[in-house]
Amino acid sequence: MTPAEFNTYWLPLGDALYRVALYLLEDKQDAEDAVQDLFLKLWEGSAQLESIKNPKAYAVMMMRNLCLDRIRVATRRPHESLSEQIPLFATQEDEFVNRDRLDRVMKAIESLPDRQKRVLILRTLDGLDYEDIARKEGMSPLNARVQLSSARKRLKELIQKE
Amino acid sequence: MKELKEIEEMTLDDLLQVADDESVSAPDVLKKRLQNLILASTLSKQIPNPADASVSASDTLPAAASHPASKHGPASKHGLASKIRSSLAQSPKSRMTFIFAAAASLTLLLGIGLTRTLTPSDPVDTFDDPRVAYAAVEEVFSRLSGNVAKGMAIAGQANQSIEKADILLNQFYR
Repeated sequence: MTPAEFNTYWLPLGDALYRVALYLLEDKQDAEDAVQDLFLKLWEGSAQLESIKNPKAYAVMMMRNLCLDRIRVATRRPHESLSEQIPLFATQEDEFVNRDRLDRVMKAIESLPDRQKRVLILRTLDGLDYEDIARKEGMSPLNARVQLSSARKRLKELIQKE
Repeated sequence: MKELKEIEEMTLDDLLQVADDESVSAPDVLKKRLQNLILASTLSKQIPNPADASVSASDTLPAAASHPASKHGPASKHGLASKIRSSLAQSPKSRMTFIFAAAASLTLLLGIGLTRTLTPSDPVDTFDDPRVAYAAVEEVFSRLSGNVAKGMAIAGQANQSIEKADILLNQFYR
């Protein structure tokens, strides 16, 4: 599944899944964390998502199971809040390292100039070509290429500097 | 948080009703955060992790230069391109080192090649008259410096081509 397809069919479920998580966990921060964890899991396993006929039902059941796991972990440690605990998906060292790297990449993305960020999203997540990006952003296709190249270069520098 | 038993007894329809209850609003920034998360996950796979790099900063020449496959013909698009890309993807310092090393190698080869082609077929390498010997040496040095200047100009052009290739490779490896 391409990022553009995931962006079209699964990302819009974010609000609905947040409502389910909030209902089950009864905490806004925990609900946001749960939604992010779920989307990461969905994206990591996106190759299997193409066969899912009802994305909403599938995602809602996954959110239910994720919340059940979180509550089980929380009830074993009554003095820690859910949001302070190591997320369920990071219990193995490799996953923890990957999440740390992901956090760094996210911070690097957030530090990009707005224009470069927008072009990066339009190209990577929405799958637009340079002409469409140029039209949306009011720039030339060549400038769109340059913005994208600069964004990637900057991300590499920021990530590899650490 | 809800009790485990309560959640386990909820049906899919119950959960879908909760999901569709638009009186509960999600944070405005949630969609943006999720987009950034997916973007970060996609890009983190594309950007090499310095911790995983097997090539140290001092290894400036691309492995493709000594790869056996390169002797038998052009390297595959993925093999040579990925090696150049991994060299170019190193830190700016090692990248510049790679570029200068490539330029220096090119200059040397050009200097040797041009000197060989421009020298007479039967070079005279001993002279009886020291003035003639001095003139011959002076002529060789002036030819060499001209060739070095040409080589440096070509290396400068090669540098621009490498930068263009970098942009193209970035597009290719999306």
